[in-house]
Amino acid sequence: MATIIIVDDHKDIVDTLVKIVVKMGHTAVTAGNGEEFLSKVSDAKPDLALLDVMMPGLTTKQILNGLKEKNLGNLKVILVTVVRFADEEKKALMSEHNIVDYVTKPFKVHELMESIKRQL
Amino acid sequence: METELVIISPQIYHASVIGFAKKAAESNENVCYVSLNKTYKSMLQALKKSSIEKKKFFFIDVISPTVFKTAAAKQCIFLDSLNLNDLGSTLLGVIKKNRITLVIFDSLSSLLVYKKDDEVLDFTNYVLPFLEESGVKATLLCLSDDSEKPAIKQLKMRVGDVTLMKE
Repeated sequence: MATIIIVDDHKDIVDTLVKIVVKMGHTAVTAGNGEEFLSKVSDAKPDLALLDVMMPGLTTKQILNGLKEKNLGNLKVILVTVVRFADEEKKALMSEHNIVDYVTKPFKVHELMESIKRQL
Repeated sequence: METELVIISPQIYHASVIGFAKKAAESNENVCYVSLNKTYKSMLQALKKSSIEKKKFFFIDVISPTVFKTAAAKQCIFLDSLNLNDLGSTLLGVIKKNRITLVIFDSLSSLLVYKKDDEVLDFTNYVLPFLEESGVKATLLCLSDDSEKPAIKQLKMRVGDVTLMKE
């Protein structure tokens, strides 16, 4: 069983993701924005983060840099977002940060589950 | 000139956006595409994939600088924060400088992630009269999930046309 931190400002999305994570037999921790994520992530010791890109408050760049400073080497991140990136941008994100996958909203539940399974 | 509010279901959102871009490229419009949810590079990639000519487009990209370091681009202005005064004045400047005839705003839903309803309405109340007086058409995109939010309900009454697109 793994611990997965869900970071999204939309409560309905968080609720859906929590249900998916719990159904897969994992533990879910939630954060409503980047600040909350960075304040919780060290104590929560998650194995995986499902991170939205477009949230009020800290920018994604700030969140990812903040995460890097915490040196949580094993924490993998899946971006779950409506934001569309070019292929080269996805590669850059994956090489510069510990981002392991990218799931676009609206997502299909089985695709997200597959993505989570691949990382754990 | 007409301002259109287009309310789109999430399942067909991105395909619909490319459809609008294609239609605009095939017309005689000079387009300013304001993106709050697609990076400039991803838009260029999507246009290329759909064989859409990019030369009629000018972009204002508000999302890339929140994720990446961006380099200056000929057909794009990057805004590194979503300050609505900056966005409004940049948009009006781009319209004047590039003889823009159509603005595609993608999207009000993204704007509502960061800004309150009254701030969104202040922004549209500032920009739309200028567009209308200048003869510039505007297509304001919105996800159907947000169609009952106060700002969108107000805009439905304010704009010339409301289009609902669903699967």
